[in-house]
This record gives sequence, C-alpha cells and structure tokens, in this order.
Amino acid sequence: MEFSEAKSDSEIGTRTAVSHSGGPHFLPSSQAPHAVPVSQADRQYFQQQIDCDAIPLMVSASVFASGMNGALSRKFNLEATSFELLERAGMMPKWKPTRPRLKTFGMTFPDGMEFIPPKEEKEHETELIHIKGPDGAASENTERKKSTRLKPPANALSLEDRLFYLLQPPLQSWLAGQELLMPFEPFPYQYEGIAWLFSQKAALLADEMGLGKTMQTITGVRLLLRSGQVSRILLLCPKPLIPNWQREFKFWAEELPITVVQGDSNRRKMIWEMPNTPILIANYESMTRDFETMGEENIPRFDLVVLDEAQRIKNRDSRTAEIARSIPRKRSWALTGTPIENRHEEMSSLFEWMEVIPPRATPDLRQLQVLSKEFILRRTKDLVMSDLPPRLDRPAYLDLNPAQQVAYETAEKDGVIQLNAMGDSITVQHVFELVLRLKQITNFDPVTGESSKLDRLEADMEEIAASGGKAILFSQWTKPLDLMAERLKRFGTLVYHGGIPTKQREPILDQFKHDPDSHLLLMSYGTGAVGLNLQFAGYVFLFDRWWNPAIEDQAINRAHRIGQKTQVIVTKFICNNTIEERIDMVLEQKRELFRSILGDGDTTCEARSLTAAEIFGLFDLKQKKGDVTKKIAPQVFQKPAA
Amino acid sequence: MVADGSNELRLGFLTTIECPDGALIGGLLVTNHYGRPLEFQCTTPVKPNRTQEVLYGPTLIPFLLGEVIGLTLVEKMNIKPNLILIEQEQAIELQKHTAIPVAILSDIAQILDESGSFLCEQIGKNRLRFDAGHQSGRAAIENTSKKIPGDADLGEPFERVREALNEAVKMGSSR
Repeated sequence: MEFSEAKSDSEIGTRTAVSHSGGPHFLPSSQAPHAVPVSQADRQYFQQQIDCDAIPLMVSASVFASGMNGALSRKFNLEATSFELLERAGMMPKWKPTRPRLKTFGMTFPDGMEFIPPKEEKEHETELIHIKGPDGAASENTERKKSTRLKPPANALSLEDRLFYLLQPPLQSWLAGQELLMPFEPFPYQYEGIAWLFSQKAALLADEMGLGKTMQTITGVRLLLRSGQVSRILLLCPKPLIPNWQREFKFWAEELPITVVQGDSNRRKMIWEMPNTPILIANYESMTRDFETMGEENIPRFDLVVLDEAQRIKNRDSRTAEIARSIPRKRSWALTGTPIENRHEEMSSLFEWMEVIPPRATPDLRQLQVLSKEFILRRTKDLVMSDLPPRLDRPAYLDLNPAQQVAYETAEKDGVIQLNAMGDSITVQHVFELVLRLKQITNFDPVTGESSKLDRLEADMEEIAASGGKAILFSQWTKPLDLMAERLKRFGTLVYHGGIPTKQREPILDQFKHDPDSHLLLMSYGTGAVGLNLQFAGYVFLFDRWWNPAIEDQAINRAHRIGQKTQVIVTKFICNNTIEERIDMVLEQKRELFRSILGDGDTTCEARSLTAAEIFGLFDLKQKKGDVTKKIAPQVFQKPAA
Repeated sequence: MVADGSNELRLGFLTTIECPDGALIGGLLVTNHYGRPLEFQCTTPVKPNRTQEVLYGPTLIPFLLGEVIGLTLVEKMNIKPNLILIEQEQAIELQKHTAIPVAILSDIAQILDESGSFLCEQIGKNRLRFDAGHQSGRAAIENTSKKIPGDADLGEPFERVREALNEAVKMGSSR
C-alpha cells in the first residue's frame, strides 16, 4: 500500500515535470527547485541498504493557464466620435411657480359701507364680482344679481345671511369690559333721565323735543344690556325715523348691533325669529302686519319694548295699539314729546300699554296726575338748559294797513257767507281754504302788496343790521319770501326754501354765516325748520304762524340751540282783530290742558295742531233753517296738513 | 356721526381651514375695534397638485397660506384693514407681499425672540408677534393697543371666521 503510494508519488513528480512545459514561460523548467529526479539505481540502492523508502516531499504548485492574463496586458481598443454643437444647450421648463388664481366670495356689512372708498378701485375688479351685504333695500337686488356671481352657492342669499349672523361677535364681547364710551358727556338732566329709564319697568319719557330722548333711551338700553338685565329689545318707530335711530345708535353706542326688520315678509319672518339679535328696530306698520300674521301666541318675546312717537297708539282701539299691547315683554318704555295731542283720554291708551292701569280703565284727570308723577318724566328746555341763553318771545301785535284791512274784511265776509250757503255739505277743507286766504292777506295786501308786517320787519332790521346782528325769518309761503328779499336787499338778504336747488342751499347758509354784510335769511318752515344749525343768529321772526306750534319751535330752535352765545329774540307777528289772534287763543287753551296733566314742566306750546273742530270754531258758522239756528260741525274729521 | 375712515381701526383676521379632501379655504374678516364685522371675504378651496407638492416641499404651506390665499383676500378686500392678524405661523409669509402690517397672535411671552427680528406686544388678552423691522407695523400695533380694551379677546374673531368657512364649505358641498 505504501509502495503503491510512493509509486504514485513518483508518477506525480514525473507528471509535474512534464506539466512544466506548459507553465509560466518566465521560469525555466530546469530551475524548478523540487523537480530533481531520484534515479532508479539510487532508489534501489537505498531500498537495499536501509530498507526504507524515500518519499519526495516536494509539492509543486503551478499557475493555471487561464489565458486571462494575456488579455489584461492587451491594449484597449478606443474609438472617439465627435459631435457638432449646433446651439447652446437650453432648458425646457415644464413647470414654473405661478400664483394660482383664486376665486373669492365676500360680503360687506352695513357698518363697513362707509369705509368703502368711492368707485376708484373699479379697474381692479375685473372678474370678481363683489356682493354687498344685506343692507335692507339692497337685499332684493342681491337676489337678482345672484346669477352674475362666480360659482354662487345654490341659495347664495341665504349663505350671505347666514354668514352675516355667524360673523357677528358674541354678545358677551360686545358688552364685556368695554368702557361706556360716549361721544359727548351727557347733560345732568340726561343722566337723570337715563337712570330713571334704567330703573323703570314702565316709563313714558316725554321730554321736550330736542332734549335727547333718543340718546337717553339708547344709553338706557346700553346699560340694561351691559348689566345683563335684558337681552332682546324691540324698538318700534315710524318708518321714516328708522335711519335716524340707526344713526343715533351708531353714534351713541356703536358697539351695539342693531337689526332692522325689513324686506319682504319671508325675510322679515326670518329676522323676527333670528336668535342672537339683541336689538330689533321695526316700524309700526310692519310690526302690526307681521304679528297679525304670526298669531298672538307666536309673537316673539322681548325683554324690553320701546315705542318711539308713542302717540301712534293713542287710540286704544286701533289695530296698532291692540297688537302693541299683545307683545309679550318685561319692560315697556314709551317715548313722545307730546303725550297728549288733543284729549286726556289719549294718556289712558299709553298707560294701558305700559300696563300700569287695567285694560279698558278710564282714569280721570286726578288719577292721571298721580300716574303721571310715577310713570312720566318730562323736562323742558327752560327747566334743564339753564346755561342756554334765554329765548325771549315778543309777540308783535300789529294793525293791518288800511288796504289790507279792507281786503281782509271783504274776504272774511264773503268767505263766511259762502260757507254758510254750503250748508251741511261743508267740509273742513272749505274752512281751511278760507283760513289760508285770510292768513295770506294778513301778510300782504293782494292788490297793493302793502304789509304792516313787512314795514315793522324793515324797521327792526335797520336796527339789527346796524348792530351787526343776524336774523332768520320763517314764513309758510315761499312766494312772499322772494318778494321780501327784493325789498330787503340792502340787508344782504338771502333766501332759502324748497324752490332753491339742493346744490345751492349749502353755499347760501355758508354765505349767511360768514358774510358780515348778510344780515337776514328768509326761510320757509318746510325747508328751514329741520336740522339746520344757525345758532349764530340772535333774532328769529315768525312772519306768519304755522299750524303746528311744534314746527314753529323747531324753526326757532335753529337759532336757539346749544352753542348759542346770546339771547334769542323771537318776534311773532300777530295782526290784531284777525284770524291770527284767534289761532293763538286756541293754542293757548290747549297748552293749559297740557299743563294741568303734566304739571309745570311744560312752558312751550307743543305739537298739537288744530283739529277740524277747532278750525270750525275759528268762525261762528251757523246754519239757519227757518227759526232754528244750528251750529255747523264737520262731518268728516280730517286734520289739516300741518 | 361721520366716521372718519382714516382714523378708524380696522382689524383683519386671516385664517384657513382644511376641507375633508385636503383642500384649503381661507377667510379674511375685517372688523372695527369693537369686533363688529365690516367685511368678509373667503376663497374657493385651494388644492395643490402633486407637482406643486413636490417642488414646493416644505415651503408649500407658507406659499399657500400667505401668498395664494392671504394676498388674494387682502387684494379683494374693499375695506383694507390697517393690521392683519393671523393665527397660523406659516401665514406670516403674507408680510412679504403686502404693505399692511401682519402680526401673529401668539402666546409667547418674551419681548424679543432669539433672532431679535420679532417683537411681542400685549394687546387685550393676547400677545401679538410682529416683524420688528416693519415700521408701519409698529405704528399700527400702537394704534391698536390704544383702542382695544384690556380684556378684549383677539382670538375670538378667528372662531367666527372658521365657523363661517365651515358654513361656506357645507353650503358649497350641499349645492
């Protein structure tokens, strides 16, 4: 076995030597260290001598000729291809950052309207159509414009409405922590009034016009809201006064959100039922209509109901009065400058609404006085505005000029005869026409143009102009104003009445105020009586008497108002032995009635125009039938337009 | 009273909500200093596409909140606010695109942040953080702080905007 191994070893050695021929060519095969052959003789000799076997120890390893090494030393075969650059390499942008166009939807709130700059942004609004917020009259238009809006929601109006309410601040934040900011410090009497209202469950604030009933009411409401005593308020007023209330609320309590009940009946219904609307303002007509439709049991509840111009419900049987009484409420405030216009019974209706007398109760004069003390607060300018310079009323009793006298007597006699001849068919209009004609004659003689009033005015104006004073004059008619202006030219007389285009009016007032040579401004009651501030004029002339003394007062108050530095002298022209004297007398009687119920607070005449009966009473109208004479009274009571 | 538009304080409250499908809707409410609304504008939903998502990367949201939504709304407003308040930090991007000062409603107490580029001021119950270098911003903030009562909550109007936006989304989807 061993032998055979040795044998095979020698074979390996031989094979190895042979295989060398194919080995690395850089090593000569003769130099291979372990390839020394052992001769056969030696081997045999060794075997005989030592009886051992020789095993060759050399193991040779050779490198396998893979042929790869040759490939490694081979040179690379390289080829170059050249390209012509025809142009600069460019980028082909597939995307660039742009601001995507976004569509918007928006609304402007009524409060915001005043901030919107006038029209100049027109060109910016190329494709986006802006939707105005619901501001009453415009809301119907919004509905129509719906189709022009970009992607309008199905019921866009409704979304707008919903957003309108969603975006209102929470009640708490309107009221919490904000100081009571007032644009002006209230007068002491106003503080008293506010405090009184605040504490009253039933109140009739009957302050004289111009003392700030509105402001006291708004502040009272504000305090009640702030103190958490009320959270839902309804204010009812005549329709034309709604903008006035909106303005005053904004001025005196801009944090209070007000909602006007207006629009079509569906919209109004929505507003009535809308929660979270602390102050609702509605007019009497729509309130009556809406609550009638809703039925008594569905009328919304209020913590406070305020009736402005509360004489609206003086007739307790009227629908308005009935509905007003049926509104469920905790507090009732009524506001009016004229709680009594004609009869003291009118007070009963107000007291019934205020729930201080049982339904249908008819308190007598004495009881009314007691109730008045508790539930009515009335102050007059004379009492409360001690710092306002006094107003001196100087009635100027004048005799008619001879020509006027003749004209007046003729007209009166003819007129009365004519009226008497009409018998029972006579209406208040006929009498009224006569009264107007007579009043015109007391101003000017229709033929000669003579006028005792104008003579007197001229004389007074000489004095006023000489002292550098300014005067305003009021008349019922505009034509005589133009006539007077001609004759009184030298006093720098200006005319301001309804016939003057609106654009020219402001410059006229401006000139009157600043031109030292302009001493007289002639105005009509209709145009000049309301809203103007002429407190730099110290003289007021009432050329003729207006039917409604409240209008006269308003006229006088153009000059006699806060800011007036000197006393205001008011000259009322009254012609002796004419209808003017009689009108004056009737008004004086009414003033007396007023005083007897409301106490001495009232010293000026109030808005009590003459009723038909009183106008008839100005004349001794009688009808003669045989031996019997009967007094003629109007069949149709119709108030003169005053 | 004739309100003098130039002196009145008009605060803009800008915020964005995410629709269920991931789109963003922005709303801007302008109020007076009592928080009474003057004007409201909202956008249609904005949904970035895949390319924009990839290419804008982390700057996508500031781009959308500030430039796409914020700027569109500010430009759309008829009544320009004199200070825009935001509650999403990333919407401050808007400041780079409008002259109207933008402030972040913040609860950070320190007056200056580490980089010194932002100032904080207490207004009402809240703190406003605004760009320290923005001069008109400083004036606007001072003006604001004068007119805002001490316990006013400037965060509250944002709730209204969000509610209005949700309403708009609801109405839009029910259409």
